[in-house]
Amino acid sequence: MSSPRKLKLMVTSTVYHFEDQLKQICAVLAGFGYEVWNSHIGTIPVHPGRSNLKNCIAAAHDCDLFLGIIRPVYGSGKVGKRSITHEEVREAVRRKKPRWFLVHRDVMCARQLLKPYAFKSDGTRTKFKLKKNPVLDDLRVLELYHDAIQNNISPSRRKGHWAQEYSDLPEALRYLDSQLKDARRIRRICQEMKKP
Amino acid sequence: MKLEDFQEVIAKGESKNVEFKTGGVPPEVIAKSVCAFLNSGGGRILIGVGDKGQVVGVKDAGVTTRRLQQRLPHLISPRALWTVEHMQVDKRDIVIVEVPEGMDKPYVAGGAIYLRSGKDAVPASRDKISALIQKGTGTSQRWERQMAIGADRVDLDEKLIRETVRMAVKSKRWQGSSNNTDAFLHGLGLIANGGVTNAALILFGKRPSQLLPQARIRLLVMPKGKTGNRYALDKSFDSCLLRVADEISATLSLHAGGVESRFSAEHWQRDDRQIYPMTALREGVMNALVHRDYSSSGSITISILPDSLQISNPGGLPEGLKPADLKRDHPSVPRNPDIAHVCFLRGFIEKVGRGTQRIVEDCREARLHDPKWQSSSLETILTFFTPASGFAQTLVEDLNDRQQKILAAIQEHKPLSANDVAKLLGGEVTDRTVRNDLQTLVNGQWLVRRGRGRSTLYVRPKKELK
Repeated sequence: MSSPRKLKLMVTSTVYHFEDQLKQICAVLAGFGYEVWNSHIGTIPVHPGRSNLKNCIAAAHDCDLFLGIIRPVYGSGKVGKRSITHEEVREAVRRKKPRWFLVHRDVMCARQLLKPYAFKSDGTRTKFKLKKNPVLDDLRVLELYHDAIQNNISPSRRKGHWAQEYSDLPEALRYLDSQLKDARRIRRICQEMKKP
Repeated sequence: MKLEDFQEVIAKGESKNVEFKTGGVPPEVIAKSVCAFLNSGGGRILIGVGDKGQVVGVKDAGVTTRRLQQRLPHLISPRALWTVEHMQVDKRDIVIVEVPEGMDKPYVAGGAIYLRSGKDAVPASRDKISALIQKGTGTSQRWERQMAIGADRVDLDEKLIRETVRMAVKSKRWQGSSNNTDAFLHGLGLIANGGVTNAALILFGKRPSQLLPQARIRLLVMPKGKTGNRYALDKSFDSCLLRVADEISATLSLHAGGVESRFSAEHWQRDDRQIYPMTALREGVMNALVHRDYSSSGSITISILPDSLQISNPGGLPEGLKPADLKRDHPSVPRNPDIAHVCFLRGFIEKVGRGTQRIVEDCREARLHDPKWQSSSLETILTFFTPASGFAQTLVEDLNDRQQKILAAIQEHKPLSANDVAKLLGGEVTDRTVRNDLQTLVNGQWLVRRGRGRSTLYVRPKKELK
């Protein structure tokens, strides 16, 4: 009996000063038996007739499962209002992909600290502007996090909004090990979530 | 690696820690082996050696060495410390890649994680990867990677960082822009999450001891020994590691035992030399700075005593390493790999795991007794001895003909008494001459006395003739 095709796992993250860790994460997931799609390691299927943004969104659309890593760096590939990473996360949520999120501790801490200043009670932004600092480079990181956890809908109606806090790579890897090591379990989840 | 160590390694064959490669193997293949060693306890790759240990050599060893030095950092993630050297064996060139165990596993080459399986590098299975992750997360973050509380980037000496990056780029040990100090610090894990690590502060801090008192180094000159009632000098060094190494060297060259003068019957000209070889002292200080346990609040102390010089540092030797191992070929187990890596990039470390052997070689060359390492779980002490300490060791060629004859006889036969020696020398020498010759050999550690009075015998200690 031939082995089933590998599940296509898209890993999205900003890259700046995270290059080595991203390679380590992708290698771990490849070792777990996934076909890993990631722009930094050059494994996103590219259509030459499309823009980078369109190719990345298409990958988020076509993958079997999705891993979003939310770091305190927003990303340089900004197109229009949002970064490519941000758009990929929104696409995965929109398509109801089986998804997992890792959120850096600094993002969580900055959110707690800045929420009263940067966000209105309905979740929209105030006019608060963030000055240059070494912890969080853009308030849109918090919007990205809000999109990942579906902050705009009531907690009781949210699904797939688990976001695991991590402070360093060993912690992130431990989460991935516990969640994604068993590719057979993940395949069942993917099949289950495909059903209407 | 010394020739005798190389021959011993070859004789033992390939193993979990040793891999042979013939020449012409692309860096991508070597990278997989390096990756496997980093993930599996360290080891070494001997390029130019066949599977069965036959020395076939490498063409253009210099080119191969440079190519590996330049390519391997691009092929393996995250960055780690390893060294590439080449040596000649039977007029054939061999390239050796020395890889200490990595501290930031899993290491990746070509998109995959490799491990050692017997004598091969193999892609890690799902369960092995999981085990690697669980093992890594079971330990707390090492001290050098923790954020330095209260320190910012402005507390680092930018000029020193720039100088270090420039030197690393120039020596081709670092591939990147000379001007991009941020990428350098990030790439080595010295800054993260908007802060600086303890390692960054130790290496580049403007005044590291203000935040980390254990970074201070104390140098004591005690002319009457440890029981004396005064210090001739009690000096503290507060600079960062990359500056303090030079400052200590300069002070040691002024205070470490001065100069010894010798005359000999053959050479009437006075032979002046520094008692302690400065290269060995510097290496000893660097070892203490790089390998000490910084999580301990104790400081490194250098004590200059009448008959010895001691360098003591907090922290014992790494698990599995004994003081005696330091004199021979031994695996490198850096306690602070980030600090060691920057010292390597700066040129303070040439080859991993060779520093202690070089210390011994330098002392022997300076005709000093071998230095001594003592280690407990709390501290490691390295002691250098002066010739006046009673440990003076003459070279065999400095012994007279009678003394060499005695040595040869005792080496070949059973232990000899003074009477046996007198007979050996043919009865033309006085008892006093025999006693003097034997005393010289005992002082020089060529012989050991056993027994007392008339039953005294002279035997060879367990060491080789030089």
